[in-house]
Amino acid sequence: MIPLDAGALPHGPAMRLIVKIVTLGEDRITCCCRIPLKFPWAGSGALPAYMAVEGVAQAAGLLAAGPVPGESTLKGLAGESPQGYLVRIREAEFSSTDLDPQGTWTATAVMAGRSGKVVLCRGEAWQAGALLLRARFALYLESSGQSR
Amino acid sequence: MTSARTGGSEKEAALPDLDSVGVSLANYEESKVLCRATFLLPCHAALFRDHFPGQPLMPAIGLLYLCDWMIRRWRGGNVRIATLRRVRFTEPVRPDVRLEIELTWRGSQRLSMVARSESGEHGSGELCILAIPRQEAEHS
Repeated sequence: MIPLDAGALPHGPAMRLIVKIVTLGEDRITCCCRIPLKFPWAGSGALPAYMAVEGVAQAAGLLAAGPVPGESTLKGLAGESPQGYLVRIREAEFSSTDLDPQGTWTATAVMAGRSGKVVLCRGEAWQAGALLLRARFALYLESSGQSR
Repeated sequence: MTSARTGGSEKEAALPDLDSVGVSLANYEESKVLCRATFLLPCHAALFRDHFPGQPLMPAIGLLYLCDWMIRRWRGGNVRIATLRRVRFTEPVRPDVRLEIELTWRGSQRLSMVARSESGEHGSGELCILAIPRQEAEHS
């Protein structure tokens, strides 16, 4: 597990879906996610699978920002917030399986390209062995990341 | 209303109502091929909560939720968003806005979507919907 710096994501607690990083490679990140108690859509049972888009986007943001060389934690998008925006989703497929807000799930993002401040990723979300979503994402990062 | 994981069966996820996320409906109209709704998104709306502290913006899933809410009202509660062919989020949605979303039926389960306010276009795209068998939806 890779420690996640407290300020790695600019989101407040109700929207901070990533609880820890499971694996981090040069071009790939897998995060463990959970729906926070005060998540705006929490409280009415199962959620549509597309809600997992936010977790994959947060994972992609962490991947795009990258680790700081020599640092033991992932600084992510720490600093002035917000620094990253989801600007496009393509070829998204949502499972008919609902997202269980009581359970954990994983969000994986794979770097697919970068053009200036726009980062392209492929992403997936899984819960209990079932695919929730698969999509291509584009993020706009106001800062160009650390060293990547 | 589904309240528990269904192990992969196709049941309809409950969708929180607009009140629960602090959104109100200002206008709604539908026809066979078009659905248009105007939502009021006040600064205290829950869907801005913690996204981001001090600089609230509606998350992308907020727009998907509003589209989902419209689709279920328009096409029936047993319908869900299955795919997004492409969706662009052109301009962030900030608090205290009247957001108009227009869905146009393109046939074969396809819809086009445009979201706009007086400040311009916030998003657009194409999505496909899936009808859940009525019996399963009623049991959920």
